[in-house]
Amino acid sequence: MISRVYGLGSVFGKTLRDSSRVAIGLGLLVGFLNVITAATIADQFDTAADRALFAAQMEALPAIFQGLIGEPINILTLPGFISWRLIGFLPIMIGFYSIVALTGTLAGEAASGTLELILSTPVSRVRLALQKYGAHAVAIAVLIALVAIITWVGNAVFATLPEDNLSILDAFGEFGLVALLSLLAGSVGCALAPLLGRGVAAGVAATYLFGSYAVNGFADLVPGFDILRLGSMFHWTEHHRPMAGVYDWPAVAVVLGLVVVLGAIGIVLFQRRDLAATLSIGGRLQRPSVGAPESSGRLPMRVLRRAWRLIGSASVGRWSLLGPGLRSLGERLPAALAWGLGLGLYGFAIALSADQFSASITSVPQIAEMIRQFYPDIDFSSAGGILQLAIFGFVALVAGAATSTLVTGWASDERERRLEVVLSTPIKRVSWFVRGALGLLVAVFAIGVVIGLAAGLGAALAGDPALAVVTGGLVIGLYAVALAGVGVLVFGLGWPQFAGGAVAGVTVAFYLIDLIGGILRLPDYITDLALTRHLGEPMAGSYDWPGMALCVGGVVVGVVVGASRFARRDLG
Amino acid sequence: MDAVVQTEKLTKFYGQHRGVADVDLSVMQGEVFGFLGPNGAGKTTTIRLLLDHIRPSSGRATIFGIETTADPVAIHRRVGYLPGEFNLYDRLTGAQTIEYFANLRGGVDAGYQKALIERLDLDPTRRYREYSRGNKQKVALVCALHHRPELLVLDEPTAGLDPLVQQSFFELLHEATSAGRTVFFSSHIISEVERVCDRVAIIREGRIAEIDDVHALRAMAVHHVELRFATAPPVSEFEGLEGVSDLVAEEDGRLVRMQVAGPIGPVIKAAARHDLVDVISREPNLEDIFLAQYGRA
Repeated sequence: MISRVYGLGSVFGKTLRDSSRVAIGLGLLVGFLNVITAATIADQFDTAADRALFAAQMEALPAIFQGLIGEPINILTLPGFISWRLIGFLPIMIGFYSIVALTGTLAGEAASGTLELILSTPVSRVRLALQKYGAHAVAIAVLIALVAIITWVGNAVFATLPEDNLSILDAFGEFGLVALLSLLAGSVGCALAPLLGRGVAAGVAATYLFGSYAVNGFADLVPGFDILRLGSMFHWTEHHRPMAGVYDWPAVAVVLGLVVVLGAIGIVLFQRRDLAATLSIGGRLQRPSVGAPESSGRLPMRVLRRAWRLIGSASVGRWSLLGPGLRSLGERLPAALAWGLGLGLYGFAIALSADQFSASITSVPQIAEMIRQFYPDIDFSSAGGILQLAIFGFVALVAGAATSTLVTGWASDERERRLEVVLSTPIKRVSWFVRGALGLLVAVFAIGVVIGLAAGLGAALAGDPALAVVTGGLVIGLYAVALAGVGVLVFGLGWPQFAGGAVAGVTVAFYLIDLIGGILRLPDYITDLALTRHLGEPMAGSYDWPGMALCVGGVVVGVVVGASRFARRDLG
Repeated sequence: MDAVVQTEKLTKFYGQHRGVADVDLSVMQGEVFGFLGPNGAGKTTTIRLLLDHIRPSSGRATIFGIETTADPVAIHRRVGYLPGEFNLYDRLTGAQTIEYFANLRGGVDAGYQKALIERLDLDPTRRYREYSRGNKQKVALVCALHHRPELLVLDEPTAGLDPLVQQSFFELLHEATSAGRTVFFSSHIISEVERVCDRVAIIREGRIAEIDDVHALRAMAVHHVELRFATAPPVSEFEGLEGVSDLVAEEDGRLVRMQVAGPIGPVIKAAARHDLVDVISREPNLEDIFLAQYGRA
């Protein structure tokens, strides 16, 4: 009985127990953000006239900004404003959690061997998968219920105008969609994991999640995005904002249907395939079947195959066996290059469409003037300026998420007890730590290098200077390196299990402080805490040298302090 | 003979939890030293202390005369280690894994490495993640042996190995000790320890309960003796003998059972004075000693 209370009575209970801390923590965090947003808006725009003026300014924003921060719908009201500020970001944050959880819960545990033990008990595979999936859905529901209730209470406390009233049902209707969008992203990973393995499935799902958001935001400006947006979950549901008084329940039903279908596909595939057996696309591409000449196939496929082989071979190349630094680099380089390529292609597409973006800004002279005031150093007629305005912050956020996964991989050397074997060879602990960290940092920096090169190529093809764009990519790489420094420090101090999470937490914190702090006019001493505010506008050719020195200094401190502590502490 | 491994009051606590306490050990050059104990007794903690993977709460350990916390790298250069639980790099093949560890050490004899791979019947072309548990163990064994270490520290080394490969492994151990190398052999498989070890320490709840060579431990242990007589002797003749306990007479006194701690000569002499028909004395094995230590004999 007691074990049931503690969640040890069933797979469902155990899974829910394992996810409860993260779910409740995230729910409280998001709810808190919503309350802060409500409080600040109520304080700064406390009359109907102020609100109307602010709403008119926001609605006049050109597409480049609406793509970035979402279409303002009924932001005259407090709930409408909260909805506008967070509806785009929340599914990304919670969706990323859902992807990690749902790909890890079946494919990850199958790979680690945990499921073999569970399935040796009288629990069928379908039942097991249903319970795991169901427990995650309940965890997301708990998270969202917390957000909805806290937001509802916060709104009630800070409502100053009659239109600010929010019903609890509308709060649940709004954040229920966030839950479904997050689950949809996770379900994509869940459906693909039995086929592709955990890592690749998570990568595809994350690409769909981030890509959905980016493509939908800039569909009117970037050629090709208007077609791609048809597959974007953000596009399907953009007119469902119950907190802003706008409903689109059929769209919600479509998302719900897809969640169910994809979840079912994942469960059926899990039931049918051998445990922990995956169809490794990477492996297939790396090892062409006998009799199929390497040069066969169309040119794009050949190029893709070669590129894939090149990336995949990085982790097993002879050079990666020469020492701990190169091993660390080799282990993480394929993933880093893949993240860089994904983000770089996004930058490439935006850079190619720089003229359309520029035209959308100059079409509204008042807005163009306002941008000049806020960003006097940015030439928004150039690809670099457009990239800086449109995607720099978002790309930095995703690069932080990528860094979090790479740091998690490095820290797994200790958690999975590889380190014990490695450190029984004649290598000093400090040497292993510093060399391994450097390998990690080079891989992380490679994300920025690839972003810079791809976006720079786009800028060059658009006839604009490419150097600043490439440099901007390097600054993103430097920022990611600084974030990795946090993970290196946490690992060195003795918490390898939290190293990746610390990076993710700091990344999200910087993003939120920067995003919300600016809009809510929070004091400088708070907004300046975000490292993203100290990177300058590098894609537009404006550099913040002290900020970059801070990045370098931060990572040096992380490595030095981490190594110093690592040398003295017990291995886990 | 020099002590290769020496510990003095070696103690490790994890917060309030006991790891090991006051462990005193000496492992001599060229011997196979068995380290016997059930799960959780402190075997792996002791090994991790010896390799400086964790630091002692008190006490000290030296290997080759070097304090483990002072210069672990100098120690590791001369040590081969096979952990009880480990993981290596999923994406690398067995050959790449072995090459990586050879690079970390430097100066590994490629010919010897190849011979080890063949003797352990390892297919080095497969990826590590595709290996069975036994094959993963073989990869780690090659990494532990390929530099011909002066001290081999093996934690449950035969786990997952099939009997044929176990045979090859024991031959490798024998070759190592014949060449004057030392082996620290941790296991809970008693027959295995009895087979290969010269001396044995039994660790119980973090403390060394017994330490001696295998034969001495056996000699110290209780013999189970059965004496069968044609006519019943007076049982009182045996009661006063040194080391005799649990004396029982059955079958009208013609069958006398007893336990004898130490030499059984006096018992045999006393029995010979009567009409003795048969003597059965079961020699104790390490398992009896081990179980006796745990009160389960």
